[in-house]
Parts: sequence; C-alpha cells; structure tokens
Amino acid sequence: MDSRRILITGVSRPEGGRLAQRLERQPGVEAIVGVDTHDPQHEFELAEFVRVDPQHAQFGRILRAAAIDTVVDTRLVDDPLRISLKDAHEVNVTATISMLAACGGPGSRVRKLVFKSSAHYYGGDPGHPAFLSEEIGRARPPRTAIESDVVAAEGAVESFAARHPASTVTVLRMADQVGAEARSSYLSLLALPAVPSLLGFDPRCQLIHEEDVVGALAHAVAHNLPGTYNAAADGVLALSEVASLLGKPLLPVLPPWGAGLAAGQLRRLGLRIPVELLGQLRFGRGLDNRRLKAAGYTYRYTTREAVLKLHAEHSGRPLLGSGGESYHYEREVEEFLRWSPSVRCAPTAGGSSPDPPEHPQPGSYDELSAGEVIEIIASLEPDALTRLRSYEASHMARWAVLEALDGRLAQKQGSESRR
Amino acid sequence: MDRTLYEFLYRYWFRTEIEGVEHVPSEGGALLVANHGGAAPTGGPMIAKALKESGHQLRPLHLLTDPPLQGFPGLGMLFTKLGAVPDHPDNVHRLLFDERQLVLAVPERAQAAGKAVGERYRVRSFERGAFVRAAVRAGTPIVPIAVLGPQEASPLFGRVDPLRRLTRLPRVPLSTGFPLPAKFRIRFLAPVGTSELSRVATDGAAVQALAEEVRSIIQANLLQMTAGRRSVWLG
Repeated sequence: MDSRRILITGVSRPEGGRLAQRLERQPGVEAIVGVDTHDPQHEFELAEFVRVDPQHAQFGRILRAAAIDTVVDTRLVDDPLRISLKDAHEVNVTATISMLAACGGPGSRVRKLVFKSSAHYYGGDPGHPAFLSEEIGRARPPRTAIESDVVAAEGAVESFAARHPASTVTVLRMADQVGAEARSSYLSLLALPAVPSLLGFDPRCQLIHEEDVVGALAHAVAHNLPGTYNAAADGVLALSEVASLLGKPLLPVLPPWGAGLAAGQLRRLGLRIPVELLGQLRFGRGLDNRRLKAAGYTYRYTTREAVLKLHAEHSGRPLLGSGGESYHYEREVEEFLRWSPSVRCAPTAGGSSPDPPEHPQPGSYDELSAGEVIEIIASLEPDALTRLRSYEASHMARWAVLEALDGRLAQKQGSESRR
Repeated sequence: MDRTLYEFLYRYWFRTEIEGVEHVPSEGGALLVANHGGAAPTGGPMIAKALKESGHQLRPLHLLTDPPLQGFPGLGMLFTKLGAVPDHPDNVHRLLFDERQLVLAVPERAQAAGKAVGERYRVRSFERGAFVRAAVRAGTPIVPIAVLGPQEASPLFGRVDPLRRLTRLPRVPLSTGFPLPAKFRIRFLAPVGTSELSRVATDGAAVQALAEEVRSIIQANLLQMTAGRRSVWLG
C-alpha cells in the first residue's frame, strides 16, 4: 500500500520536522499534515502545520477531513530534560490512547501507523543479554516513570494493531539519539567538560544519529514493516571510549551505592541525571539492530561515526552552558542546503537513498590511523567492506588495512556460504 | 598488565601442561565445557591462555560469567575488558551461532561455589543442562575439558554469609588471597557432537542425558588425572 496522505505528530521537534522535509521530496506523496502543540522550527514546502491541544482531542477531525492514510507518531518523550514527569505521562500515554482511538474511529482511513518508541522500553537490568532482541520483552515490571510510560504506550499501540489487522503498524524502538539538533539528558552529559560516570562501571553505549532516526521513520513510511524494530547504529562503545573520542576525561562522580542520592545532590548543582540514565550508566545497553537491516534499511552512521560527528559539532561551541540552549533554524543556510543546485550531496539524504555515498565520512575516515580502521572493520557488513576496500585501495592503500579487509571479507563470505 | 600477570601465572606459577588442544575446532563455533575451579576463577583464564599459547588459533575464548556479578562495581567492567560475557542464552547463541566463536561454560558453577576442599574434583551434576541446549540450538560441538589444579590453587574453606548479604554478591568465598602454586593440567577431550539431537527437539530427557554424558567424561578424566599425579604442587 502506498502512503500518499501522511500526518506527522510532533512535527515541531527536530525529528518530526526533518521527517516532514524528507517526505516532501518523496514522489507520490500528495499531502503532509504536521501537528504539534507549538510552532514548528522547520520550513516546509508542501506540509501544512496545525496546532493542536496537548490531548490531541481534535485529532480525529483532522484525520477525517484530510483523508489521512498514514500516521507517523514521533511525539513520545523518553527524556525528562525539559518536561515534567506528569506532562510526559500526558504526552506519552493519554495522548497516545486518544490518538489511537481517532485512528481506529469511524470514518478514519488510516491504514498505516508508524510509532516512534524508545529503547527505554527495555530498562536497565544486569540480567539482560548483550544485545536485546525485539522479542525479549520485559523480565520485570518497569520501575521508573518514563519506562512505564513507554511500556504503556507500546501496549496501547499493540492492542490497536491486534484490533486492526488490516493496518500496518510499525513500532521503532530508538536508541539514544545524537546530533546537532537533538537535545537529551544523555547528550547534555556528553557536552560537559568531563563525562560523569558511575564509579566502577564502564557501560556499553549504543547511539543513533538523528539522521538515521529520520531515515528509519521514512523507511517505515515507504515500505511495509509490520511489527517492532530496534533502531540503533552498528557497533557498541564503552562510555570510556565515547569520552576519549570526544577528547574528554571520564569523571566517576557517582558512587556505586546510593547513586540516586548523589544524583539528587548533583541536581542542586544544576546537573540533572534522570533515573533511567543512571540505570544506563550502570548496566549499559545494546540493541540487536539486525531486524531493521534485514528489512532493507541501511544505517548511514555507526555509533563511532555518530560520536565523531558529535565531537566535530561540540568543538565549535562554548565549553559551558551549551546543553540546554535550543537549536536555531537558520533559514538561509537550510534553504540553500535543501534546494540549491550547487549542493552536491543533500545533507538530509542518505539512509534509504538508492546510492549511498562512497564512504559515510571520507573526511574523518582519512584521519583515522590504520589501527583504528582495523578496529572498525569487525563491525561492518560485507557490502560496506567492499566499498571500504575500493576506497582504501584508491586513496591511501595501507597494506595492513587492505590485508585486514581481505581477511574479514573472506571470513564473511565463508560464513555466508555455510549458512 | 593482564598479559604479564597471565604469562607469569601460566608459565611459572602454575607451570601449566596441556594435552589434546587439537580437539578444539579451528573454525566455527564450539562450546567448551570445563569443571569448576576453586574459589577464585583461575581455571577459565588459564584455559584461554592455553589456547593462545598453543598457537592453535587466534580466536579469542569468551568466558561466561554470572549475570549478577555484572551489576557489581568494578567486576562487570573487568569482565567485559577480559572478553567475558554474562551467561544469558541469547548471548551464548549469538556468539556460537552468529559469530562462530569459542565459548567456555562452567555449568556446575552455581552449586560448585559451595564445594569445599574435601570435595574437590567431584563434578556436580550439570543441572538443567542449559549449555547443552545452547549448543544444540546453535548446532555446535561440545568440547569437554578436564582441569586439574585450580581447586588446590584457591581452596574454598568456607563462605562469609553476612558479607554476602551485605554486598549482594552471589558468594563471598573464604580462600587464600592469592592463588597457591598448584600444578595445572588442562586436558581437552574429544568433542561430543550435538548433531544427532535436532535443533528443534530440545526435549528435557535427551538434553539431560547429553549433559550427564559430558559430566561423566570430565569426571572420568579427572579421576584418571588425580590418580596419575604424585604431588599436588609438583605434578
């Protein structure tokens, strides 16, 4: 089924706005309606903006009037950085339920629902496997407010899917987002001059670049992906590795016992670490992203590349006070990047685009030493390896890198043929 | 740092002798199963070191650890850096099947933690046989390993239960601070195939039987090895 008339919720937030801009350029899209509770930051060509109340009470009327066939819900708040827990509950659970009721209500033509969820669904647990697969579910009931919101929202979406077997319902569980526009508690920790950590723990971090968030959502709109999918970049880094890539020291300010109390003290000093993040700083989290890849999505950035990109963005900013300030949409620059014929590679393209760039980031790749490149090789897929092989051969042609690439390719081909 | 420590322990402290390394397959996943070794986990690292020393292959060996230990400050970090992985069916399957790696399981771990010095080398039942299930699901062979030495190197005298409650560790063993210089012998045994059990049929009785078979192979070899040695310290 083709998505022609699309409604995007949460369009005033970076992901929603970028998604609307991305979908505008897709052929076959007739109408895009963006709804949110405040004015959008992005400029739209085709998309129309409608301001709604926080409960999304008028949602059903908009759906019917615009004959919407696809709803992309990007509202879910998984981080209490700038919203109270009570408001978050309203957005995550109350509004989701009324939105779903509107989608399934009389006169609705909604045939596809893409729900942006969060990896906070899984929570932090020492009993978790290294890579969480979509079926694992929750071993124990959620312990924090945000976690139970996410679980309740997904439960509502699941029962909607069960009641409407004819519609395609996609749930995308996003890892922690990084990028120039994204704002979260996690990112504000990484933006500090030293990265705070929990004494005696070096958790595994897996991130997703905001471009891949938009890319994955757009992929779910363009294709039929019923079910739940994890969306997280390839590769897992230890927090200490993330800190060293950012060129910052790791500062174990939180004690292993009574971390919650210590976090409360830090909050008085102006550093807010939510409970969910404390769990992540203790146990880390890895998501099994193979299902989304099998469904045809190609990630543009690995976790390492996302961190390196974040580093490049951080280095242009003042040292302190950069965590909370909001992103400024610079109209001229954005217009130029989107429409000018002199721009070679559109910045929002990638992801599902048919011809991915030669290498994700040739500029930063050339700066990597042979040892660093060899470390990355283990996490790459065969076609990426082939591309990297040709890039390396034509540019620096370091024999150690070429040898490692050939070895890995042979190994991959061997294991493919055995299967 | 660990390299020098392991090197020292392996070569000079435990004077490790190995036999039958050729039984470890040089490619594809394989599940290695060893008897439990004393209060401090000296057995696992020495098996890993033995594989590396023998030049048999350059593949790392992944040790399985108790998941609760992962939540303990310092330990979880250390284990991850040593390439150990929490014992979870999904982790084991991913390593064995998807990544075709070597995994070392110590199935008696949970009960053997309470095994005092007097009961050493009596291999406890591999209850539930979770490791067999993992190997069958991944279609990999099981390589039994008999390890002699670790139980004398770090004998278990008792447990400190109040401390255990206080720290919430699964166990706080009372043992020597640093392992004693017992002579280590590691014997890799002929692989036990899991192909006769189909991937779907993981019925309890068959799994139990295979687990018991692996246990008895290890036990028989341990008895043979203990009978053959003249001294705990010199071999």
